[in-house]
Amino acid sequence: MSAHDLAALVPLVILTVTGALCLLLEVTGVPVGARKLAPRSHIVWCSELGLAATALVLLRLFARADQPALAFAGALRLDRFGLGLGLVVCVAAALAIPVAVGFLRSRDLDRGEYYATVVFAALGMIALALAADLVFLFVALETTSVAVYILAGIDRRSSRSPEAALKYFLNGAFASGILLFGVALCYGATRSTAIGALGPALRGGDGALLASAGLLLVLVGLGFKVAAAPFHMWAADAYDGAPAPASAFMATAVKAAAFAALIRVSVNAQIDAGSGWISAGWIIAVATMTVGNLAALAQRRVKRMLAYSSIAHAGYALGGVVAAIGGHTPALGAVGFYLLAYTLMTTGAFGVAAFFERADGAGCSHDEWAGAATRFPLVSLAMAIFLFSLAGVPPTAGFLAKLNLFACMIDGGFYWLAFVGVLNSLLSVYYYLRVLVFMYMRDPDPQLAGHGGAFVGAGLAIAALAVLLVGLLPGTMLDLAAQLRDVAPG
Amino acid sequence: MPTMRTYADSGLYLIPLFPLIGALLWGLFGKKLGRTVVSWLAPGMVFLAASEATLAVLRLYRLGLKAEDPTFIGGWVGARLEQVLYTWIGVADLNLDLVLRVDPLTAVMLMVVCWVSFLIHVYSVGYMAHDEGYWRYFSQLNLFVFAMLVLVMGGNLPVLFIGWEGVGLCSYLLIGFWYQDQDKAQAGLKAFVVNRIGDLGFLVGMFALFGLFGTLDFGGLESAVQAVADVDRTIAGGLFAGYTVRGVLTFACIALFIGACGKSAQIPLHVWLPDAMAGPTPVSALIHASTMVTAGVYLCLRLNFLFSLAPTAMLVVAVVGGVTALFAATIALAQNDIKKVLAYSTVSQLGYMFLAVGVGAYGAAIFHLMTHAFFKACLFLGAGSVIHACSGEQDLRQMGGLHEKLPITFWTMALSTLAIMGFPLFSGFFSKDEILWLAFASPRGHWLLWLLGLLAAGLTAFYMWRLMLMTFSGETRGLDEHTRTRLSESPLSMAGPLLALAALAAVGGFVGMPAYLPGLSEWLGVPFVNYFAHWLDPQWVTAAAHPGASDLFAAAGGAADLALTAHGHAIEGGLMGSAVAVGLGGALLAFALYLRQPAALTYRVPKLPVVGGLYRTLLNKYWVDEVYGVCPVGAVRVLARFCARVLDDIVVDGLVTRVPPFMLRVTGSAVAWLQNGDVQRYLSFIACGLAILLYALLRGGGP
Repeated sequence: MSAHDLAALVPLVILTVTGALCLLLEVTGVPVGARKLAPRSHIVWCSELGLAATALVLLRLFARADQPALAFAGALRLDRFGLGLGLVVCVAAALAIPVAVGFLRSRDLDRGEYYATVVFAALGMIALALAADLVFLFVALETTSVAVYILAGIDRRSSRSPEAALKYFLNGAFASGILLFGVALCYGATRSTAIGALGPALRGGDGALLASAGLLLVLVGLGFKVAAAPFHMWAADAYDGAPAPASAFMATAVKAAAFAALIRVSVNAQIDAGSGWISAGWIIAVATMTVGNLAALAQRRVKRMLAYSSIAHAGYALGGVVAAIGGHTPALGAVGFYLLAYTLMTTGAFGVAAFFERADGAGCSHDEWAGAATRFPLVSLAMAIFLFSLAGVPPTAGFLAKLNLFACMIDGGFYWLAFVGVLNSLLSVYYYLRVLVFMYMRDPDPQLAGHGGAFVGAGLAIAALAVLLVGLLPGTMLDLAAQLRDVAPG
Repeated sequence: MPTMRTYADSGLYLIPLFPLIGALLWGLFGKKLGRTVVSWLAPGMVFLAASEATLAVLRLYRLGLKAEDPTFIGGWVGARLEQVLYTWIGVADLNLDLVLRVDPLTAVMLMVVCWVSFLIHVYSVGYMAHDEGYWRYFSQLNLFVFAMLVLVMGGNLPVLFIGWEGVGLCSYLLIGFWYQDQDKAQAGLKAFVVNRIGDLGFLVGMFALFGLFGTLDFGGLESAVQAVADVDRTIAGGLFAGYTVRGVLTFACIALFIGACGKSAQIPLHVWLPDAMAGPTPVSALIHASTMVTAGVYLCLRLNFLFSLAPTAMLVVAVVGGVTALFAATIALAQNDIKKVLAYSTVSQLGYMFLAVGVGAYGAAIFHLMTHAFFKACLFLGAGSVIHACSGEQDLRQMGGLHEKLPITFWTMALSTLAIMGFPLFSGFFSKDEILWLAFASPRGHWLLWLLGLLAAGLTAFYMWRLMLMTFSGETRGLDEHTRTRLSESPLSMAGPLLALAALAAVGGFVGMPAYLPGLSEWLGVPFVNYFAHWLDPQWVTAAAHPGASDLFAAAGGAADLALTAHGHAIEGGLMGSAVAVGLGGALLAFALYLRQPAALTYRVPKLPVVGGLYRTLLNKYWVDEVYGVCPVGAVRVLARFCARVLDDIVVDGLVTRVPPFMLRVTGSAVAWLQNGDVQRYLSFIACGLAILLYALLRGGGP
């Protein structure tokens, strides 16, 4: 085993041990020293510490990765792009855990299994972000998916949660099949499962068409995971039906990791800037953002609106990916920065939904949130920050991320893409601010209740402050994001 | 002379940090901490900032001396301290750092801002003692000091602009501090709106500079200017293709000057400052007399190397400054509200500073800025003390005879009045004299500009002594019985700052004694140096060395010290004498008219035939507010009504109420049809999408 193998192994091992510990702590009960804490606080802390340690290791690797290295015979690639998106996954998981605590306690779901599953899912996602081999990519994706199916269905006694999980699973299985078939075709064309082998095979020779078809199937499989139109339809049902804290994690971390894989595969394929792949790409990007936004307009449930909003945001990010494939490398950093901002604000917004959600998805509609600002001023303020950021209003992270992304599209020559993106994001202001109209300008609903607590408060506060901080002082983040460019060899 | 060297300094952030901490603490926890804690720590935070600033200035002094000749007279070449806090944005050609910088100019501003702020904080402890919004007041006052420090320490235009907007915000908040009073809230709003007009100019100027030089950093701009050998060269490409560098600079400088006009209340944007007197009096002293309103002057001085290359822009600055000085002084003649007199006096004195900037007398401008901060802060605090004693009465006609009851207030205000009228050897004498002399003698000056300043000086002496006599001499006229019996000197926390500022107003001018004061050098036996000007000389080196500004500095032999112009000392002596004479004349006239019957005149004058009309014109401030009420404000109202009634009610609301429900119905039903929760339908969409893509792929034979 080389030094690189060891380095790649460290974050994965830390997460495996953390997940196992979470399960063990559930069985062994509360340690003596922690009796005074609320039940299972120690499990929350354990998972948070594990994620923090992982993030630190990833940061360290990030700092050293000025020369990308392959590990495990080419299964993983330690480069700044993968490590950076791995960090975004850590952020998503670390924020999604505390905002879940209040809801889980209210539904008597506060068990070690939940936290362990989140940690295992994060493990799969980090592996997915680093994967440089199609088979490893598939395994990582399935590790992620299975964990996330469980999270979606964790609220077994609810009528909606199992339905969401089942739909997600059926759709996911279909997409996995497509992806796996694509992997097989690629192997047939290149006699290798390495992602890096795709590019040369597509250039010419006997297997070019076979490789193209394989690449297409792999990209469709990954497009399903990022919820790109027309493969997005599961997302609304899954995110709306799943418990809100699980949606917070699914809508952000899964997306970041799947985008990492999607970008790695498509950039490695070294597609010609003028080819039909690019046109297909931007048509899908435009369709995704438009469909997401139009559908979000009509929603009467905040959670479902957020689900469609996450589809729309995937569309913006896809636009950045298209610019990157089209040869404009800085777009990679812009997409990375966008995914970070999106993670912060979407985890926060779903976290607020988790704060209000009651049994069977109640407590998540606009009407029920009426007048929330008078009863829960701080939570409402946080929600306002998240929504302004999602709408792209300065001085939030969302504004800067969008600005950066659209600027990259323009620099890359995709004027129409940027134009449609801006129009779409104008449209989105309507449905984001509509929530605030209900929260701040309607008479309070006495039925409304929330499950607070230190963890939830801290999670929401950190997410809100981060959204503002990244928006006000973006320098460091932009510098880091600018280094996410070495996806492909050469 | 070499340009100043830059040294990294890791302690600069502490200077603005303390007031910021204070602002947050009092704002969030003020009520819990209690009055005693706030009373001690709010001034304490400013004191810490002031101490840090003083230490930084001392470090600057040490670093600014030549190694081979470490004396101030011989070896002072200046230096810059710099601390980069954060790379704010570093995208492509826009590189913005949050950077703090201290150079000789900033050092002067730091000393003035910090120490005057400290004194006024102490004074406020007494003045605001019984106010319900005690914590809110000190939170906002601390926040103001923070913003002002960011403004003067900012190392590039955007950081300066953050401070600029920050002080504007605090000014707005503090003018409307008693926000339950509709008029006071309105005054805050007026200040805010008028300043927005100026800020537009500021932004336009900033963008023009960025378009021209591609940087907004002061150091970067300086190097960029040095790199332009010929300012009359036509720009070949880019945003300003076809224009000369000088032309663009003139445009940018005038735009920035419009920003400065807004902040520093110069014609035609002066209307907000008198209304701003609605705020608590210490606020008027701090923000609307000694610090924030001078920010416009500071901005011009900070960019002196740009203004020097744009003579047309400088002419505009000088004319606006000179006219404002005289115009505001005439209005002050007829005001009966003690704070309004001082407000117009401030506008007038700021006019002097811009006059100085406009003729290239940069050192004189900042010198007058400093002395004005001393005596005007003292005058405002004195007025506050009077108002405090008179239970809120501000009308001069109701006062009178207060000098026995308020001796400290009387004597400190008297010293400051001597300073502002330019009585020999008081601080205002030196600074005003330098401005008048250079307005006459500078290559970019003119005797008409000098005349404007001279007339304003005479009026200043008159209205100030009118104010003093109406307040302090004769019999007490208005004031109810209860207030009269309780008239007494203010507490120590208020008297102390008054004494300190009066002392500065009296002797603060000696740091800038002119080198050519008749007979002084002979009497001392050594060549005398204007210490203040010498301290600032390195600041003007870039401009002085630039060939594009040779007309301004050539007479001084390429040196920055404009005092050595060709006119000679005889003329200077004569000008000095005439200024003193006019000042004394104004004062004597005031004594003659007001000493016996201080208030009688204000009732008699309006009835006189011609003078009465003039008096009413002045009393009503030339009806500028009324004219603005008709022209810009009325026009905007009509436009707003059009927008509200026609555009909004009919067009927008029509669209909003008709189109979206329709759209929502359409998209809603489309979504409901697509997303009916049926898994088979979802899967068939995936399959269809895949099929279409595959078809495209195969038909294209590999896309």
